[in-house]
Amino acid sequence: MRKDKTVEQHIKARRRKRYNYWAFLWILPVVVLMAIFSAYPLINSFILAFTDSSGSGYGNFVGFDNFIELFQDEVFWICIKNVLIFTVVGMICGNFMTILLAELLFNVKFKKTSAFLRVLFILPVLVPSVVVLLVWENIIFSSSGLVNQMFLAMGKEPIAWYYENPYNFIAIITTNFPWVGGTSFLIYLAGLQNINKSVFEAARLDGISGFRRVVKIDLPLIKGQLKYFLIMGVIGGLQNFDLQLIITGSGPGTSNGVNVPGYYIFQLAWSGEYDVRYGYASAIGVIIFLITIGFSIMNFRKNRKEVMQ
Amino acid sequence: MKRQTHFFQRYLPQIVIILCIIILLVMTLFPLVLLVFNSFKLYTDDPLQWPSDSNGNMFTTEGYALVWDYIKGNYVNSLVITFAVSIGTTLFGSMAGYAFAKYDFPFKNAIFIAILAFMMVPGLLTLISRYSLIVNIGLNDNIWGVILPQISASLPFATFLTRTFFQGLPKEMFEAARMDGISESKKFYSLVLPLSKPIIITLLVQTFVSQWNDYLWSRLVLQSEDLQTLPVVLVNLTDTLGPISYCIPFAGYVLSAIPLIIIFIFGNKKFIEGMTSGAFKM
Repeated sequence: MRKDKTVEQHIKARRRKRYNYWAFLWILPVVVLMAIFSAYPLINSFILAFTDSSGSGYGNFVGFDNFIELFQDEVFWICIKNVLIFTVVGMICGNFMTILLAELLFNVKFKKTSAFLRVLFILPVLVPSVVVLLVWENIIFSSSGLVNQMFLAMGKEPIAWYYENPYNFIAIITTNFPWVGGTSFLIYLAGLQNINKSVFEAARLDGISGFRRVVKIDLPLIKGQLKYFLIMGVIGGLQNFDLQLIITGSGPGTSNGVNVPGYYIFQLAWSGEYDVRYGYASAIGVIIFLITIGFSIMNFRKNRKEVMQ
Repeated sequence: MKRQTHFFQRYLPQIVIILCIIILLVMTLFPLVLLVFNSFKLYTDDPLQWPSDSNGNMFTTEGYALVWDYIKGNYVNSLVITFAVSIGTTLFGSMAGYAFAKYDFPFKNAIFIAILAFMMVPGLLTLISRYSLIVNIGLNDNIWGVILPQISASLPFATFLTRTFFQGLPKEMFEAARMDGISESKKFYSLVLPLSKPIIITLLVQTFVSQWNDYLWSRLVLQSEDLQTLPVVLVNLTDTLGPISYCIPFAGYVLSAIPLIIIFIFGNKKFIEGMTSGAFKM
């Protein structure tokens, strides 16, 4: 009887000791900062999306009016169409070239040459991304820039690349060509290096080589990396409006030729091209959020299915 | 003769591969080479023109002198903000990561998942609300209005990364420290931090690079010219000077790369780890 009690007390004492309340002090800065600057804005965005707020204060609650208006807003649909094209085309071209580079480097037999070339491809990261855009605006696609000089040499008329429909569309997509500078190719390269050497040996013995090996063996085995860039590409791509903000704007005049949701939000809230409408702009943010979450969940479920099989 | 064909058969694929890589490399680096080249030219309307007496153009370092005079204040601003964000993120993130890895407390998993969930929230969704919050609490046009939200935005990833690392540290070591009666904060600073140097440096580099690149948020929050950050000033400078002579902004672009170049020279391995660390959170 007495013994039982001590065991009970012992367990109780241990359980009490297991909780370390000092831990709350350790996580306090994170919790406080994120509550103010991440959680509150998140909740507030959803509230704003249902109001007609025009900058200061909440204005009136308008139910789903903002969303109904959005679905009838021609500009919004142009933005969605544009951002889908930019994201999908950008992701296909970018990943194709990046995998190509990783494959090329992977197949270089001289180790030191390969390592040296690798470092050189990373160099563009050292330049701030805004500056890279400015370089493309002022050196490559400027009125007497590289591309126009090539056009002149071929006897064609020079073009105001970033400022004329539909050339601005092409210029935005080709900015940063060949899209391999940076560190993404290292992640693919690491994926290739992680593949067991015996796989390649077996492929070689079976007479599978070159392009067929890449498609049938390499790509399936770096699926993890592909998926990572797919998710990151979609999430980043849907939000991106750097080029519009820094160089092109929404497209010449009011054509909205290259407008994207992110820039439309910026216009509605800050640029002065429209009356300030925080509520309406927040509704666009909510739509982008829903698309992103939907995509992530879809991807997650597909993953789970694959694991189950 | 036979030997020669053998040599070619053996090395031809390698030569082709390296040639392809070099073509890609030239296309990748050419814009940057042109940038540096033109930052030393008086007139830059033709980026390929080689300065000579006959075309009235010449090499000059005047662009650097002029632009440095103009941007030095903003350069310091950018450095201050970037250091504050990367140090704040790393310190607070690793503190929380440590607690989540080594302590037990009520609602531990719920809080951790709640923090991680913010990695899924697109910055675009909260952009307007964050801005009006900054205005409402009086941090508009104040560098803290940039620093605090940017720290908050990078904390989920920092917490996650450091927690994973701390979980890998041996338990016995902490037991020993506890038995020796070392206080919690001392344990963190004299035991945990030195051991976690690799992950701390990776995190510092990663947040430094991303904050140094930040344009949108700094542009929204900082309106006074003397508070603005470097990317914002460079964009404005390009717009105001127009296409007359670009050597001044071009020199500014080159100067803006210096901090990252320094980090890269002193620790390119850490730099690369910082830049690719995102891929391993999956």
